[in-house]
Amino acid sequence: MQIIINVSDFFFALPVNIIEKVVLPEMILHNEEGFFLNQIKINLLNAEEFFKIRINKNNPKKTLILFTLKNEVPVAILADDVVGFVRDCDLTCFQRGEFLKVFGFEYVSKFCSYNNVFIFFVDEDMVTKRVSELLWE
Amino acid sequence: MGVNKFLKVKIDSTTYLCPEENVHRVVNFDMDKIYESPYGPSWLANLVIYEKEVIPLLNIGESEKNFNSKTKLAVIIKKILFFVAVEVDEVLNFVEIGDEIIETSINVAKKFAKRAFDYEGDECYILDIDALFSGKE
Repeated sequence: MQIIINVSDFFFALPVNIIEKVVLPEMILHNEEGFFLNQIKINLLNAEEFFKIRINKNNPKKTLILFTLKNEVPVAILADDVVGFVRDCDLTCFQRGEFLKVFGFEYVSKFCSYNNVFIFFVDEDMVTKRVSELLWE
Repeated sequence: MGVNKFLKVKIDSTTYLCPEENVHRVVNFDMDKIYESPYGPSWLANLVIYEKEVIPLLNIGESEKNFNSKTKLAVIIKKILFFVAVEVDEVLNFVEIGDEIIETSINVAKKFAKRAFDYEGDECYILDIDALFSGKE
């Protein structure tokens, strides 16, 4: 099962098993020490930055998605919206050609077409890798 | 002296020559089957599905093409097992050009073309296939 999120009108699918919760951004407390959710410090990122997409519409983000990752400070991304859920078997999927990595598609494991919309799948390993990169940046 | 076969195309007002061995097909993509790309440089604005694969649709010209059109004309370029689509304004014809003319080509600073020469009064740029697949203009 995948959760589909909207980021600058692009749709990304993330595995639900790595999602701790989805909350409203208003639940985040911000002070000089950082961002906190229920008194737990979190690393907060815009989804554009997380997915490294080139377009940033600077819309006020409506949804916060918190990842559960072992032995790490919790990471949350601010996305435009949660669109819904989908199972792999419901979709027509297209594999990523290896050379697409040179165009920046390294975090997209596959592509799916659904109701004339393209969904970019990011698998668990890729999320973990991206979180590690961001925490070490 | 050998003969080289190229497909002659127009991109904006520039004549490009695509080596015949790299031309896979000429395709009209319906606009509703063209997807925006979240990644890549500005000339990789779109993605298309071709033979069950997601491939980049590159706009290497200076302008947005066929803005009001229902389709986009593209040449599918093949290198080994990979494909890219290149938007073109017009597909002209196949031409055979002798080595003696190719040898008169000069280095040029043109997007996706390393060399150019004069052929029958037309300034022709040889499409740099390696550059198309490496994402480096």
